[in-house]
Amino acid sequence: MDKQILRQLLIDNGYPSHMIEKTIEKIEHFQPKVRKAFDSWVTSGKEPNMKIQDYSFAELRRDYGMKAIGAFITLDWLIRDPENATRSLKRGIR
Amino acid sequence: MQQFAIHGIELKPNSPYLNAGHWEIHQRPEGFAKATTSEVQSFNPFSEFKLPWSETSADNEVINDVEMKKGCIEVVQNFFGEGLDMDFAEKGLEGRCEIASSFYDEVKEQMGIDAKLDFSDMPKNSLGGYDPATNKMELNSSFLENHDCRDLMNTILHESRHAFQNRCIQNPDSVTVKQNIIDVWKDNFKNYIRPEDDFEAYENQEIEKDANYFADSVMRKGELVYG
Repeated sequence: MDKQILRQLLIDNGYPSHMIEKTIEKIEHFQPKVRKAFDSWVTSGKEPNMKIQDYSFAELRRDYGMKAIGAFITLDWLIRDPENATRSLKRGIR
Repeated sequence: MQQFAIHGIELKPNSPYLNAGHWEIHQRPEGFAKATTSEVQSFNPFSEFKLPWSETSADNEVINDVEMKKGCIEVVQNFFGEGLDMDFAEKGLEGRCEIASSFYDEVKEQMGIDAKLDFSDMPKNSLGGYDPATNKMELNSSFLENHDCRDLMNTILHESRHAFQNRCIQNPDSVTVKQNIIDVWKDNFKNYIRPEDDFEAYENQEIEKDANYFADSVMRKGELVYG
């Protein structure tokens, strides 16, 4: 996916300027499973029903208030670093 | 839930305040805050702020960061040594509020901060937050429904550390924290990463890492004596 498209997508989703480039980089390095689901969401709006370490896209959005892109980033984190990701999610937001 | 006002702590049932755990405040009628692009662009965390310490406190006192941490560890040690964790477990909401208030009073004295502490209704995964613009800490009122006070104490320490970071930024001469660290914190407050945007980056940003490390290590060392 073109970087310009990603950049505009992030701006449209309220990402602050200081986060744009690093978030683009993260998306470009998504694990294949997450990238596929992300591309599908971008093109068709279809939300994934995958579960990673017992966390689903829907739960991350509903229970943590994550933006859709934030939920994809967190699913990717759960694959890359399950121990730290689950520990942080279990503790909560403060 | 009844309303309490004890030692400055107020419980507000069905509070419209909804804090997703960091110092941005978005008052919404329901659901999580979803910042629009214009809100994000117009939001300036330093557009207004309250000093994180009162003018009546020892505002000329220089807070030594190392001694301050030792002082907080002692506060935790004394808390368990006096059996206040057991008292907390046995008491009702009002009693637990008093115990939490007293604990916070001692922590804030060590840190040289004066943020107001409130409890309010929040979603279950939001534990609390500190707002430098109002110098207020908000904690999830569900903490008071749990007989185990450890997570509450840890969160009070965490949010207090944010108030301390803000003190360092506003008055670097009043602390022994090194200027290069304060500069990193100042930059982070200005370029804060919200959990709803990127939870991993939120956890790994400097002011959150510092506050987590501080709270976790103070609790761990404070409880060490009492196993």
